[in-house]
Amino acid sequence: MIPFERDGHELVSELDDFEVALISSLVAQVSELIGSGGVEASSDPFAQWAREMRGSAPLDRSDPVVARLFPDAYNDEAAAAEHRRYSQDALRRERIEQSCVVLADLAATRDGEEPLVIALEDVDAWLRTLNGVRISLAVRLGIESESDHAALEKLSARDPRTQLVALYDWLGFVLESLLEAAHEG
Amino acid sequence: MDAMSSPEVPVGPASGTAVAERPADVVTPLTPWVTLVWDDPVNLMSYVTHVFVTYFKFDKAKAYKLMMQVHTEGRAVVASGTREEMEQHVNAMHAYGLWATLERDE
Repeated sequence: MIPFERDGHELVSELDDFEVALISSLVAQVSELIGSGGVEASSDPFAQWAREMRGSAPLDRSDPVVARLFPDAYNDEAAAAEHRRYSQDALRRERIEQSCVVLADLAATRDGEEPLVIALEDVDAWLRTLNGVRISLAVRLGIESESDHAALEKLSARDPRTQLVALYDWLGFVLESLLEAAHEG
Repeated sequence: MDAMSSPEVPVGPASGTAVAERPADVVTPLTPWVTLVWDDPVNLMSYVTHVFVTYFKFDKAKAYKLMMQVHTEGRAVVASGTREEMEQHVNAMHAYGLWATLERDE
């Protein structure tokens, strides 16, 4: 991956076919986990309103990734549940829409044959989505403190987690590159 | 402005005694709420600063200072106001992947 560069109202980078497939797959996985199927199907505002009134969002909060992406707004469990009842669907829809922006930009590279071009107004969608993927990896890797991460860096190459750690670090590099280029102008 | 030295400032309606007799709880403002952002080992420092600049429109120096406070003290108050406003801020922080809560300001 070549670091992002600002070109007028766009950020430009080059990814190879493997990197395009990798990010696409990770973004799609998180999107599925938070229920893209159910949410995407409701472009009908009435259906959406009806679902919000029912408050029946079937998010699996026993999955720690879901719990981390949709954290409690209150320390009090009852207040947190009440708050979630009317705020969660909007958060999910937002995340899924942003994932779609990222997937479309990646698809436009035609498997990395063309440069990756991100419009400035889409940078936030990219940052949130990649950060969401990185958070998901951190949860799966059990990173709860700085020392957890440091310990993972010392794993042997044969450890199955090593590749995920490398991926986690790489996404950090991509995020930093995006942030730097976005703030250049 | 110094009200004591400003004769134009009205001292209150009608008699002076009415002010003293007013029950205290009528004039006490509602307890404000605050939005707290909590430290986590995943969100990059540059990302958290970016979120504070982008969402709260803080200047870079203030955003950086708050980010460092979150990082070193474990949490920081990033906003205060009504409960509804703070819920909106917390939702926005969650949308960015930050760990945030709201509570009554003690």
